[in-house]
Amino acid sequence: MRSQRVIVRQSSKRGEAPRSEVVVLSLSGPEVRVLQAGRRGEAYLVQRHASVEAPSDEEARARAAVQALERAGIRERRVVVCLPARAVVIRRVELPPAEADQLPQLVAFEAQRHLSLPVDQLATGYCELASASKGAAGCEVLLAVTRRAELARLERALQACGLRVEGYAAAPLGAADAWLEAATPSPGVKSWLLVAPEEDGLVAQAVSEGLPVFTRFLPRNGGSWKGDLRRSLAAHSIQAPETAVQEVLLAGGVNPEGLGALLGLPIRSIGGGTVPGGGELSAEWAALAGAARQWLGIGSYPLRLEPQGRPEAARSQGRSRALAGMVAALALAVALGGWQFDRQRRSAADLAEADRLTQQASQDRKVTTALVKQREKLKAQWSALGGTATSGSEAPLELLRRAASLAPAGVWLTEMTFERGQPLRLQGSTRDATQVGRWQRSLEQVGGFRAVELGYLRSATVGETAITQFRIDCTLAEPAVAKPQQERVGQQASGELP
Amino acid sequence: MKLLSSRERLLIVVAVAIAVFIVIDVLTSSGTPGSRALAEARRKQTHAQRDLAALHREIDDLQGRIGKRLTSGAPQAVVQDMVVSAQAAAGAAGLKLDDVKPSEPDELSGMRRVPVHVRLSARFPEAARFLYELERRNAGYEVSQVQLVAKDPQSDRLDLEVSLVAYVTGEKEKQNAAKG
Repeated sequence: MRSQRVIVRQSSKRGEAPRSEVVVLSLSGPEVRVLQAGRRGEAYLVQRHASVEAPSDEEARARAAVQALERAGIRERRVVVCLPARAVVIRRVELPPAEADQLPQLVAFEAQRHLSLPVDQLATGYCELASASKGAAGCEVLLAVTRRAELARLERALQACGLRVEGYAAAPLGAADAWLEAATPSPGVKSWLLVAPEEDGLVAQAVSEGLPVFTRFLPRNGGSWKGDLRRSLAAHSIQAPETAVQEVLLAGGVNPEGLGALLGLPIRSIGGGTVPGGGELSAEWAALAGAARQWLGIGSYPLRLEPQGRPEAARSQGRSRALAGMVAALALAVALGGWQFDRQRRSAADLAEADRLTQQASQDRKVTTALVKQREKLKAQWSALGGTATSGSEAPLELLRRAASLAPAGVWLTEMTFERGQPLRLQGSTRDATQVGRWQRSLEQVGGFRAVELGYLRSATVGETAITQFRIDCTLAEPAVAKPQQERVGQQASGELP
Repeated sequence: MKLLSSRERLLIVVAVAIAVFIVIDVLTSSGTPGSRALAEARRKQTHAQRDLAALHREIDDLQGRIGKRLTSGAPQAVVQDMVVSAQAAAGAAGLKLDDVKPSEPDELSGMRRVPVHVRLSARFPEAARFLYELERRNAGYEVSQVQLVAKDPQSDRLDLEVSLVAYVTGEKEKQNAAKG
C-alpha cells in the first residue's frame, strides 16, 4: 500500500514547505546511527549513512553522533532525533470538537492521561487523522508523548557538540512508515498488523483502512514478545471489534515460527532483509529511513515533536543578549561617567586656577587704581608746572624780542606781559590804527604763537593828540602732553574700579 | 513566547536611556564651567596687565618730564640760588636790581612752589639782555612772568617786573620717597 494521505493537521509548524534533505539521528541502541536522505519530487533517496558504537552516557553518545556524521561525510549539523519506542508513548485518541487553535491544548491535557506528569513537563506531538475529522462528534489524533526534561537534556548534550536539534520523530512510527512501502495486505483484508524489528524489540502497528489503529513496542525478552502481541490483539479485538486484525505482515526478517498458530491469523513476510527504498540498508535502519520519509513529507504518519530546548535556549540567548546589552550600556555609561568625572576634576582645577587669576586680577585692579591716582597726581603736577617744556626756541624772551622786532614804525609799545600758561599780551598805542592790523599779521607768521588775537582797539586822546590804544594776545604754541592710549587706559581703569 | 520579562525590558530601556543621555550631554556640551571661567579670568588678567603696563609707561614718562622741572634742595637754598642768578644776570646786562622779593613757598600738587619777584628799570635792550641772561643760566628756575611797562612816554626806560619760580619736591613726597 502506498501512502494515502491520512493526516489532516499535525503539531509541527503549519505551512512549512517540505524539506529536500534531512539528517536523522538515532542515539538509542547499541549503535549511534545517522542517515541523510533527500527528496527529488516524490522519489526518496538515502544519500549517506554511518554508525559508530554507542557509549553508555548521553554526552558520549552526542560526541559519537558527531563522529558518525563525520564518518558519513555529512556536513549538516541540524538533525532530527529519532526517539526510541521505549521513550515515547503513541496513542490514537479521540478528542471532543474543538477549534483548530484549541487543539494543542486539548492534546496537551489528553497527553496527561497517557503519561502522568504535569502538562508543562510533557512534550507532545500529534497529527489529526483524516477519517475522524469527517465526523461531527469530534476528531481523532495520533498522539506521541514523552518527557520534556529528557528531550531538553538531550538537546543540550547535542548542542554542546555543535549539533542543533530541529525536531523529533517517533521510531515506531518511523519503522512502520519505512515498511509500509512494501506492505500490501491480502485482498479483502481491512485491518492488518505490521510487525517490524526496532532495536531490541519489535514494533507492532495495526492499520485499518489506511489509518493507524494502535502501535505497540514489544521487547523481545527471549521470545515472550509473541505472547505480549497475542494479548494486545485480544484486548484490541474486545475494545474495537470493527477493526480487529485479520492478517499479520512480518517485515525485516522477523521469524514467523509459531506466530500464526499463536495468533490464529494468517502470517506473511514482506520486504526481505532490507528497507524498501533504502538501497542496501538493513532492517535496523528502518526507523531512521521512515523518520526521514516523514520529515521529507512523503511519509504516512508525519508525527513530529518540536525541540524543547529551543525556547529555553532562545530565552537564555535572549537574556544573554539582553544582559550583554545591559553590560555594554553600563560599561559605556561607566566609561563616560569616568570621563565625565575626570572632566569635572579638571573643571574643578580650572575653577581653582580661575579663582587664583581672579584674585590676581583683583590685586592688579587695586594696583591699577593706585597707579591711576598717581598718574592723575602727576598730571596735576605737570599741569601746575605749566605743562610746557622750556626750550630755547620757546623762551619768552625770544618771543618778546621777536614781537618787538616785528613792531612797525609808528607803534609804541606801552606794556608787554608774559605769564607762563597765559597768552603773551602786547599793549600799546599808535596814531595809525592800520598799523595794529599789520603788526598782528606779522605776529601770526611767528612760529612760536598758536594764535594771535586782537584784545581790544580803542580811541584815546593824549594831550591834544588822538591816538588808538590796542592790545594783542599771542597764545603760545604748546606741545602735546598726553598720549591718546594713555588717556584711554586711565579712563578704562577708572571705569572698571568699584 | 516572551524572551524577556517586562522587568528586563525596563532595565534595558533605562540603561539605554542613560547611555543616550550621557552621550548627548557629552556631545553637546561646549567646555566645562571651569574652563569657561578660566578663559574669562585669563582674559581679564591679560587686560589688567596690559592696562598696568600702559599706566607704568605713562607714569614713567610723566615722572621723567616732571623730574626735569624740579629742583633739588631746600626752598631757602633755592631762593638764594635764584637771587644770585638774577643778580648775575643783571650784572651781565649792566643793570642793578631795584627790588628782589622772595615770596612764601606754597604747596602745589605735592610740590612746593618757590617764587622770587625781581623789579628793575632799564631800557629795552638792557631789559632784553637781562631776560636773556636769566634764561641762559637756567639755574633750576623758570621765568614765569615778565611785565614790561613804559610808564613815561617821554623816557626810553621801561619798568620790568620778572617773576622767577622754582619747584621743589614737597615734604610729603620726600617722606614717601624716603620710605619707599
